[in-house]
Amino acid sequence: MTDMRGAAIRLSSVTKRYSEHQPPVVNDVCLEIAAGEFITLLGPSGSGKSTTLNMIAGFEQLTAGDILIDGVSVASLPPYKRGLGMVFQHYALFPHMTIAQNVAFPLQQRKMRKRDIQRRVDDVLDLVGLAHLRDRLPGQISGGQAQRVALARAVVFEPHVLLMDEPLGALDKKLREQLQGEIARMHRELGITFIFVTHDQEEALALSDRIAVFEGGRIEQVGTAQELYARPASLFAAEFLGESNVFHGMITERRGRVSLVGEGFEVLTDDGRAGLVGTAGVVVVRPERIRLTVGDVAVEHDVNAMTATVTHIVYQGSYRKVAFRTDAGTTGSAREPAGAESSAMPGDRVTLCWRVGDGVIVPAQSVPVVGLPGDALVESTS
Amino acid sequence: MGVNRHANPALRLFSVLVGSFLIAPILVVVPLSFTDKDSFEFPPRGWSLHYYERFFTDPAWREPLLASLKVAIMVTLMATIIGTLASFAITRSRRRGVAVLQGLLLAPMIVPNVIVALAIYTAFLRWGLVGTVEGLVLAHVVLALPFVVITVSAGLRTLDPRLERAAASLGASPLATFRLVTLPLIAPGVMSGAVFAFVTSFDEAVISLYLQSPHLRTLPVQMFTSVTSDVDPTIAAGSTVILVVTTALILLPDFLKRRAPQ
Repeated sequence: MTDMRGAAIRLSSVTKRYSEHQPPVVNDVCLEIAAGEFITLLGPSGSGKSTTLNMIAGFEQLTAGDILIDGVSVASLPPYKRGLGMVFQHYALFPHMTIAQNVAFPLQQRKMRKRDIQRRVDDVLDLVGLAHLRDRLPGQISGGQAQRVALARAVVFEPHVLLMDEPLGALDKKLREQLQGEIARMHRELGITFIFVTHDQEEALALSDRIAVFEGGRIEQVGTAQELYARPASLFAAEFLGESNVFHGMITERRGRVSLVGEGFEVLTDDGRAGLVGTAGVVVVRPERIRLTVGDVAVEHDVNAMTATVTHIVYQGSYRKVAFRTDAGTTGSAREPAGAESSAMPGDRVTLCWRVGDGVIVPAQSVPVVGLPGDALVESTS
Repeated sequence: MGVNRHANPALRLFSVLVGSFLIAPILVVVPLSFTDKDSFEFPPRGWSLHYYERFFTDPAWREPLLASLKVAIMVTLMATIIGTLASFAITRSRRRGVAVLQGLLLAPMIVPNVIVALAIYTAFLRWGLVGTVEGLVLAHVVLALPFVVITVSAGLRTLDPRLERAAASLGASPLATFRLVTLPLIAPGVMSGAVFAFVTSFDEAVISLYLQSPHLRTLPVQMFTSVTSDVDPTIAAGSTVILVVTTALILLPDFLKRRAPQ
């Protein structure tokens, strides 16, 4: 497993349309993926993330746009000539071949010598720790083992890119976390480009260098996990990735700073998106940013304060979630780490406080106007 | 396919009764074939293998047996290949005409045999195919195709399409994917289809009656002629041979499946 390296991939205005009368499934997606990067395409079902992956793999034809691997267009190449590894949700192991034969398959297709095949198969089965199962059939091993075999089979021929379509979706939580660790380790050891499709935000946050959030066939936002969590570009991105408190209102400029004026409340921010002033907008505040105090408190400078009533409390072990309803009618929650809880109990009157810098302004309309090229919230590699 | 040992005894009795009712009449020919008399006496009083010897040596019986085997083997090959390819078109194509194509292919199963036979006879008279092996094979292929299409389509529908995608992603061309992944996985369906095709041709009587000639006469035609023209227990021997062979053929795919690992 030496000498492997990743390939750079570029999606250029990739569009997929099954019928003239229906909106495109994938709409003008542009994305630069660096060589060796681990990128996750994250989104709900029907958001176009799997279709995009299938177009990269060559299983779906592009309606418009282009896909380049290391600068060379592959849009007209059939899948078997693209040389990309792929892992499927339900393993897709050949049921009539043993584990060793499954892993040897791509090497035989490349007309490698028998002795070399044997050595490579042994190496890669060692890498995933399944050498002892080499003569079993896929029906005789567990789901977690099957997915490891599928991983081994997808990388044994040293592809420059590994595509994964919800590879952990069929496994239970504990196995999922274990395999996440193995996938991350393989990415470090192999150094090739990983493109991972999932609808599970925790998986995306745990594994990726960068995440592309898909919605309605478009990319809503691309960035590192930290960027996406701290600075969501849209209400959809904010709500899909992590929990959010959402305040609706009009974005106005007052006293030299941008603020959101809702019915019966005002939220100050230091968000500099002056372009949104005068439109309907949303301020997003993450639950762990909200500090909760029973009763009234003296409001400090640069802090938003709002009175609310605690509706219920959910214990989660390492933290507790305090759900509230503000006097202005917004429902939301605060997250208090164990050992630093307030004394708030259901029914208590509390004051919510968060620093002005912890609120992020996003447009109220999560989907940009369709049809005009260039208005999508698409970013390329930073 | 194992029998449930704990099934309701009444249900088991009922099943045995229905089974006997269906199978017993057929089994009557077996003892008949071992008679030493020159008549259809049941139960026979003396036993001999005389009529088996006659069945395999008398040209009047041996020639039709060989003709039937020859036709059935060619029909099996043609129907299996054409039927398998047609099944791919039917299960994979998204075009509109596919349903019509499927209906046409399956029609010979529904349309009464006499009508199919008459139509084929009229057409073949014009094309000079009556009384030829080629003509008989073509006619039987038409009858055998539905069986292949049904069994192979069923296999293709239950085949996980991701397996073919996986093969492609691993560098297998469409042909290699078919040979190494698809075909081995639908093999049981193809085998059943082939067996049905063979049996369909081997015991087809109606079309064969129309298309026969003095030089080309299949076993079912010979049996029909024999039973209508004279009293010859050789037919019982022939029936027993057919019974054993077809039963063995029908059980073959199941047997192979059980022997295959998992």
